[in-house]
Amino acid sequence: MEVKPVVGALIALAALQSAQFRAGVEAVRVDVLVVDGRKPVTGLTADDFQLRDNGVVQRIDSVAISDVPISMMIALDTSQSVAGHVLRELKEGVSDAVAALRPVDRAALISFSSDVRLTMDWAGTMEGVPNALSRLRAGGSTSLWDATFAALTFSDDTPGIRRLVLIFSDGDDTSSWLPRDAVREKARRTDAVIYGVEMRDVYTRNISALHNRSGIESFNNVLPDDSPFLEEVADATGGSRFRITDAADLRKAFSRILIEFRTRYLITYTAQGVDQTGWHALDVKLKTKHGKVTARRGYMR
Amino acid sequence: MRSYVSAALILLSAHVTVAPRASAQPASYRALVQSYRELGGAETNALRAMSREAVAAAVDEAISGGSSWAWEDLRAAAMLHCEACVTATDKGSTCEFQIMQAERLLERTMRLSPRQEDFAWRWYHVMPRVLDSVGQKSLALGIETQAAQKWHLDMARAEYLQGLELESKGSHEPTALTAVGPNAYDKAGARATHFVRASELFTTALQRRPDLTVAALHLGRIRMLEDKNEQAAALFRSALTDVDPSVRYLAALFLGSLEEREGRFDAAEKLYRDAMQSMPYGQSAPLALSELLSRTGREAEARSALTARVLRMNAQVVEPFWAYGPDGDTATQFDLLRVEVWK
Repeated sequence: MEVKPVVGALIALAALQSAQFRAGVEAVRVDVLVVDGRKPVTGLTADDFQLRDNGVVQRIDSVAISDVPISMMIALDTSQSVAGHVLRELKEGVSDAVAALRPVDRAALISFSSDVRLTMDWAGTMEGVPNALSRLRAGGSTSLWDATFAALTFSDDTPGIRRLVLIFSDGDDTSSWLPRDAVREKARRTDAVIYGVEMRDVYTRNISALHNRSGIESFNNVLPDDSPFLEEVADATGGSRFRITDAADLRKAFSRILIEFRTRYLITYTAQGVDQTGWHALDVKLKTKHGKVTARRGYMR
Repeated sequence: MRSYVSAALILLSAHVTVAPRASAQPASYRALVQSYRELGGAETNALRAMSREAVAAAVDEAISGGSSWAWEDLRAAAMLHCEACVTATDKGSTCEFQIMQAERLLERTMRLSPRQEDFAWRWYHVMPRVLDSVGQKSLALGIETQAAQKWHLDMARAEYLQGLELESKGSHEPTALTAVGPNAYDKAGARATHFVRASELFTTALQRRPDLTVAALHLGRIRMLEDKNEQAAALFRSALTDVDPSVRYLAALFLGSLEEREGRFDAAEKLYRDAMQSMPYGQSAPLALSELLSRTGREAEARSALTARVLRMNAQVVEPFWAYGPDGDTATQFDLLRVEVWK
């Protein structure tokens, strides 16, 4: 692994000592991806971006890229349906992804089936990974929504990092207590970027989430799902959902996510001319250069 | 609620679902039971290593009229014998003896504490499924027959069980018409019909036995699904003092959810915390509390609520809601009995 000096990142993050989404009183951080076709656009500076907060153009304080340390929370579906080769491929994929992190990066692992378990606590070194992966067993149903909430809540609170939440699931939620809407709202409130990897053919929606807290309603009534959960929460955070049909593609998907995340820009600005509370819609564009910008749709203050 | 129960899951229940806590090596039967109550789980080998004569004599002493054994210890001893059965490699030659001792101990438990009839009923309700799952079919049938004989006059429990079936059927019907074509039928209507009948049964059960507040929990859930929230809340409140900690947990959880919907966040928070106290191994209550705290801007507390109970290394999880209803997870039902007897 390459060890790079992080001087640039330290300068860029000097104003972000609290490492929260809204550091201090006013600072706001927005994680954005810029691509031209499928190729990341690199070398952009603050002058290249135009950012509107609730429609008001903001002055960008800084733009940081790959030097900023990453904290990667991995949430793995270990329900009964992943038993066998899928679980083996998952372990390989996680192992590779964690090995690709730099010494300044951190990782943690949550596994979920019916229950949601912390399999590996936040660590700066990767020594615990083999042991954590060896403990993974497949069995039980799928508490995808609960696990997503837990992954977002148990975020790394180390100052000055970028938060990546990587979630794998091969099916629809079947046993969460938390309703889907509540978890989507949680995603909107955090600064973590969700990347989802889904491996399934048929998409269904738990009808219970339409009406009641999911834990109290039954979960066996399913309808065609025109908006898969992982796509929804990834979209809310400015991330992406990758869809695969073969477990052999898991390693490639995890690797691609990490590479893509490293090419993202971290924009910092001080919100001015807008209300301090409530929902802030964000619109990030390139001023003159060509490229598609993906960022979270807004933030709650 | 979950329907994927497998024999293997039951077989592994004692080791996987809730892992045994660390244990010292006890010296006598009573010390074994005490250690099991305090530390949980790892005394089964020592119990099986004792001669049957020694165990039978120890149980005789424990259940005798002049015994100093408290009902809590007797109940824990019963569950220790159950664990000695399900974790044995030679179940065929072990289980009958161990389960017989458990029954004797439960009988004495009920005599010392009549309210423990509820625990005994649940034990007789769950153990046939557990034994069946580990291949002890004739023993399972024997326990089931005994249960039928013991409670054959208890109409309230019979109505409660029928109500559970109908509540489950109603819950599995969609809330709106979804079928199309010549075979379409009103699923929402079917749902309502099941709920009406289940409600009648739960209501009658409660009239016969006002202390059977688990029926109030289920009736409250139906009222909640029918959007009759005030009625639901009153029913959940009556179940908050049930003898079964799982019922207290679910009543607090459901009521907390209602309070949250109405915007009474302080009340909801207190109820979620009460639920966590009733059943420290539950997962849904810490999640509900964490989500509530997060939504109200208390992120640090939201994180603490999760890490204190759920998201910590080697956390033991036994969620009562997974055992809710007639098709509840058998492994969880067994684990709920186990953790209930621990200190």
